[in-house]
Amino acid sequence: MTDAVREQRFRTIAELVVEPVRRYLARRTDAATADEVLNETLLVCWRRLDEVPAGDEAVPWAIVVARNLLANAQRAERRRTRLVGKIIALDPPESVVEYTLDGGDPIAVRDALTRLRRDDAELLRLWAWDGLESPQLATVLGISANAAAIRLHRAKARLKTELMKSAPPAGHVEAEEGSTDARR
Amino acid sequence: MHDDDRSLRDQLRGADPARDLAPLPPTWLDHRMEQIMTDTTTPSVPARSARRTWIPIAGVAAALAIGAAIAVPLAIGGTPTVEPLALPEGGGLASGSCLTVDAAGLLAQEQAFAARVLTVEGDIVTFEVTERFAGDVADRITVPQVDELTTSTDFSLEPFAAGDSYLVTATDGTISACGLSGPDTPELRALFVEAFGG
Repeated sequence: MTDAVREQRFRTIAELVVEPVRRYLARRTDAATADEVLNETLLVCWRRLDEVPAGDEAVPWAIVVARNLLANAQRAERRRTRLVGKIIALDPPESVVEYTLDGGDPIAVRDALTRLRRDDAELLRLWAWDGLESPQLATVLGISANAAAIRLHRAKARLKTELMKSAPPAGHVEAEEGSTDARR
Repeated sequence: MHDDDRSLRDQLRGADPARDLAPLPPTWLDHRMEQIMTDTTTPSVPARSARRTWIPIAGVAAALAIGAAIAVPLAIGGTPTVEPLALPEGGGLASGSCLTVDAAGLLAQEQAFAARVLTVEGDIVTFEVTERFAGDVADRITVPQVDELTTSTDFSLEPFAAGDSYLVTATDGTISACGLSGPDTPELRALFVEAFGG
């Protein structure tokens, strides 16, 4: 591959993956770490250009890179902050992006996600937030497309059950977390 | 997609923390791409599987290089550098007792190295240096043999035995005693690693 072809390929891939990866990171970490990992991910795309799949498949490939880099960054951060871990646990940092309250109750949805198994919740985030379908989910999770479809189906069902539990009866005020009763 | 699924996805998207994230400025990516392509002198790295293959090879190569560093000068007839070191006078026990050996005590020494006794000829012991932890250390070190009579009564050094390996520290051309030098035991090596990072 000539330098010019190589550069053109990198530009095409970078333009395709930059926003999905940036949003993937913004959903899962603080702004500074997201920025750092986004830069690293683009650098890996350049360095491993020959391995990046063609077309839309580049997006889940880049998300896997970003996920691994983020895990490394978070491991390093955990080592640095081990001594103050309890303080952070008691006073978690605010998300850098504010939730909006229009179009449903995002807090209830987020609460329902936290009650799911971690794998189910991440699968649903990848599906709904990152816009990945079963074949791309399979790439990110390193499983078969069929297995991804089955797991996604089950995760949706579990989320629906959780949302049903937390939904207030019509005409009532919101239910308290973990309860099916409207107590006020 | 079923309506149910669409509704569920819409609900989830309403809780997306990046929902209102503004797009990047149009020039951001251009600048970043230029930076990456300009700064990166090695435009590609081997695939992960290839890197894994290289790790053991690199390890073997490093081991060979270390061996060669010792063997080659001798094999090609080069003269190894030799530095004489002295034993501490009076057994190094001016205060009458030794402090507990720790990493800080080792770090205070000018030279630190691992060495194997090549020969003991008369009262001269010749070491071949196998690892250097601190300071400039010659290829070989000569020291007077420890006097067995004073060893048991005056200081902590035992007579050196041919073929044995030692961890040695020295300051001002004099081997440090009081446990700062001694046989290459796991305990002393752990302290050397703690002090000098292996």
